[in-house]
Amino acid sequence: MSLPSTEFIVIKALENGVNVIGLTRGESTKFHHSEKLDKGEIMIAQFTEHTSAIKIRGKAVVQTSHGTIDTLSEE
Amino acid sequence: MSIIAMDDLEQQCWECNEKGTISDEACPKCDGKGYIATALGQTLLDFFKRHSDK
Ligand SMILES: [Zn+2]
Repeated sequence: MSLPSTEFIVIKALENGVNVIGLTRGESTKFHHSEKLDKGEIMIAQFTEHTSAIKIRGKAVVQTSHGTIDTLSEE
Repeated sequence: MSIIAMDDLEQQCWECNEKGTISDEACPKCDGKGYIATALGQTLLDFFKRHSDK
């Protein structure tokens, strides 16, 4: 990767079992990595040469350079 | 967390809901596995692969 990517997101789980899945960069987007966060756990994830998209399921707060988003509760 | 649970090692694929297939084709998101390894799962898998064949 030529440019050092500093883009990252912060995910804080608001409930147990929040899923974070990284999707591959390239022609086909596969789920290449997953992570389970329990309530209060924080993950700081970078976009890399392998990961071009990140999918989050469950109740969580997500901070990006564009602002803070929280996922909707399923209740 | 003192004991590793299965969902610490792998998570079910959102695309195929752990079936591994979508309309009889291998799921393109998980390559038909139905599950995606976590960092912990991948670490254990790499460890076993390196040490199990001797
Ligand atoms: Zn799948």
